[in-house]
Amino acid sequence: MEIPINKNKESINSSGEKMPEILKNYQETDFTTQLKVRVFYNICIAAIIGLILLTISSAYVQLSSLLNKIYLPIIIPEVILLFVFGACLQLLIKGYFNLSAHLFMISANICVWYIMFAGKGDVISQIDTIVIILAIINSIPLFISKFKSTIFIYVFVNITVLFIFVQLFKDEFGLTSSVLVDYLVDTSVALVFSGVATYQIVRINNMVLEKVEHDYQIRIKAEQKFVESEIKYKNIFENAQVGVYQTTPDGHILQANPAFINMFGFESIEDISKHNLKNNDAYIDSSRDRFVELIEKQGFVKDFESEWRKKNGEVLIIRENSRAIRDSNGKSKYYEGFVVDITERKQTMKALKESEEKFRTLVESLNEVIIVADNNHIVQYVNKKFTEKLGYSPEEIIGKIGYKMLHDPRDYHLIEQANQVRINKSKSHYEIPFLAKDGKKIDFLVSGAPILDPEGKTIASIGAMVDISDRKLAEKALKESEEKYRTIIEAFPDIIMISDLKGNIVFGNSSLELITGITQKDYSNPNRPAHIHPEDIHIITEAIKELLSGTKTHTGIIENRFIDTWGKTHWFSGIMSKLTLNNQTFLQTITRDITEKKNIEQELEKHRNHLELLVQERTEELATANEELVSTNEELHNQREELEAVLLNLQNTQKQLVQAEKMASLGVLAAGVAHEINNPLNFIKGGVIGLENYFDENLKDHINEVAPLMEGINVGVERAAAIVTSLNHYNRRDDLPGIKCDIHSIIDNCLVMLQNQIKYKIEIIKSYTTEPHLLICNEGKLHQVILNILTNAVQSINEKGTISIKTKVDKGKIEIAITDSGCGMRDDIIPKIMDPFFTTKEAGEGTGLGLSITYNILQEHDGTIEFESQLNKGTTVKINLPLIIQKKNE
Amino acid sequence: MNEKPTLLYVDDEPINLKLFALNFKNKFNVLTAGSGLEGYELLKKNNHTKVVISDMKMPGMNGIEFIRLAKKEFPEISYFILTGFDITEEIADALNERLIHKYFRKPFNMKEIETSIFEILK
Repeated sequence: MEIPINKNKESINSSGEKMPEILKNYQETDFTTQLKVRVFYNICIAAIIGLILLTISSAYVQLSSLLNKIYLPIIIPEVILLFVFGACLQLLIKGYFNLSAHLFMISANICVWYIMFAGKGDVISQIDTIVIILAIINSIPLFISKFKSTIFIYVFVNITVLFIFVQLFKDEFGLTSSVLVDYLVDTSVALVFSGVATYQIVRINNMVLEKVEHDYQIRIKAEQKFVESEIKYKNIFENAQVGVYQTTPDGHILQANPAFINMFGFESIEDISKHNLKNNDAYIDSSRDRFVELIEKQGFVKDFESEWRKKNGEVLIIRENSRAIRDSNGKSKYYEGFVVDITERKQTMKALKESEEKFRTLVESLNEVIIVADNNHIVQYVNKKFTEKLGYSPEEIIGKIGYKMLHDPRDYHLIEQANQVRINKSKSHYEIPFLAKDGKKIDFLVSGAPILDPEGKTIASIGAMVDISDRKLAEKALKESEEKYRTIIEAFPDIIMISDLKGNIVFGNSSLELITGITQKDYSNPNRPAHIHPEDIHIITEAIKELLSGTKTHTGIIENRFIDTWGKTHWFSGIMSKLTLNNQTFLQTITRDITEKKNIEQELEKHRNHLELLVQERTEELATANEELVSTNEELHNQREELEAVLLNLQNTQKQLVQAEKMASLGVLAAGVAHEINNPLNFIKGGVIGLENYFDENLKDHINEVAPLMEGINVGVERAAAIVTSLNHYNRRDDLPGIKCDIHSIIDNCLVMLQNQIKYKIEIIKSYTTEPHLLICNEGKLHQVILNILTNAVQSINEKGTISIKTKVDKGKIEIAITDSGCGMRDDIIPKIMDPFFTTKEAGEGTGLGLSITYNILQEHDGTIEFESQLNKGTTVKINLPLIIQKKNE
Repeated sequence: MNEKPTLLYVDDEPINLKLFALNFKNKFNVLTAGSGLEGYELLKKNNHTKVVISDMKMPGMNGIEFIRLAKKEFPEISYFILTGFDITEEIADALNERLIHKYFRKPFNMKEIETSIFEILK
């Protein structure tokens, strides 16, 4: 847009003549000034040349005629004037037009008046000179550009000088005063008249010039405007998104803008103008005919929609606004119009309609109740589910004020709240009870949203509602159940606590506050005074880490110290679990205050430590006392072994505790029975002795017959006494000190006793340990134990078999293992075999007391007995007896 | 020793008392008592008693209690227990204290009793 205007300006300037090189200072001034400058320049040149000629001619006349010498009063002013004019020219060239012009005028006037004063010729020649002055004054307009009244200054000055001149030289002229007055008046009038006339000429000239200049400026502006607007319209035409065209009534395309051309898929105006609209090259259907009919009838068409075919055959839906341009006869010259491509819009609308249909079907089939109401709460639409749930048919509710029919007045404030939210164009979710047609109250969860028009104004609102009556009931039940659990949890003596991963407590039962002093206001305070003991924090941290990284939901039992609000240290023992609530992981801690238990444990530990200390001291003493004995290390090692053995023994003892209990109560019984039987036995025994003595003294002849009878009674008494004595084992705690026993010789003794039954039948395999050991026992009882076991082994072997006897020393104990290849026992028998009077043997072969007594004896010796047996394969009996640590011998 | 030593036997069973007296009449001058208290009275009357044998379990005083009482008054007498029980803690203590010399078991062994007493009396 800018460039053509600039060009125009240049062309306007260049239309005037170009200023000569010497006057280039006036290149930028207006046209009038330029003309003035040019004329004044010429006048200056002419004046200088004229003055030179005049000076030379004056000099020649003076030399040749009158005086024969140069008359200086004439020549000098002429030369001065010449220089002044030169200066004027110089000023003009420098660009000082006004200064130069006025200097020229003033100097010219002064010069003429000087000549008048100096020459003093006759009146007629004076008048000539005045004519020159008038001529000079008349040329003033040439130089005046702004202040036109300057002319009158010149006129006034000249008249004044004229009066002075006449006053000075009136005598010389010899004129009468009437002639003088006449001369003065005439000359003054001439001067004034020429001044006024010149002023008017200058004014007219200026006014004309101004008018021309004004018109010229207007024209230039108009021209510029025209160019601008042309460019603008051209731009609009070229760049418009709307297609613009001009056709002849018979369909030839005269003009089309790029949008139009593009719309139809053509390359250029030449390309498209080959097509004729009338021939239905473009219009698909007969709409061209309708178009022509309409436009001819009413002179224009508005929003005319039709389908056109593009160059590539695609169908285009357009809307056009066109008018017919007619000539003076009313005949159409051409049609011009605007075309908009509405293909996409049409398709969108179609899709929109389809989608609306789809949504309507969807809404109808929705499980949610849908209500649409306008801003005045007047119901516009309800879906089927609405009728189903609330009983109102669409006809009953549409057009009515919804909330007045559907809500209890007490719930209006809830509606008001929801409306406020909707007015702010947000979605609202709230629960509210609805009244069905039959008066039933149904709880709904309502999701409300505003429906906005394209300007964003709320025009209606839609509510989707779900029946949540069931959920409400469930919530109530849940609340009750929660209350129940809360009561339990609150009453629970252990601490139950839920915390997040940052250590903020989310929940704690009353025990938490009771034990640790953490109140609810401390829950989110990371610096609360109650805290885990600093030395135990790592236990918790590791447990949490393991819990969070692992798959287990619970930790094992964690014991840690905890410092409560009052600074007291507690011992806690608890379990942590992870649980997820609302996608966030929490830690649940259930822990018990075991401080008291721990204190007792610590006390015990202290005592144990003290004991250990004593042992250690003793050990050290021993070590220093006898350096030759086994080194301290070995000693400690043995001690440890002994301790382990004791521990093992303890465990076994525990196992046999039930058995012991049984035996103890039996012992009491046995003792009683023994006493009661022993007395009658004593009677028999006493009686027999008395009888024997009697026979001995008085009936010697009968002795032989009586003796076997007596013997029978004696044996019977002794056997009965033996059984009773055996029974006494249950109760007896023999305080007789044990003696050093050789277990191997005891075994051998027993084998000798059983030699009768072993002979030819059983092979004895002995494997005795050679390790030195010291066994302190009641030798007799130990005999009884071994004998019992061996008797059982022997009796279990029916025909031929083996009995292997193995001893070994291990961890401060001696183990005697006796294995037979006999009949063995069933598994279910083994637990019973040590019960008193239990026997598997034939009647009379065993008392059922052997193993029972064996067990008792072993218990007295802190020993144990174990059985392993397989039916028909044999039995192994293992006896363990504690040894005396030999190094105690000093 | 021409005179038979006097022996006191205390038992709550009359049969035992009778049989004991009968069987030992040749060796000892046997006194019998049915309870500790009765025995104690007898001892007071027969101050030449050398040996006391007592049953253990009796109504009223038991054997050891009786012997403990008697020994205070008659420390020179030798005391024995004849019991139907096996050795009890009480008997063991009495042995350790030398309150009694020995304990015998029922049914009694005549030889054992004779031998033990004569050993003491030597």
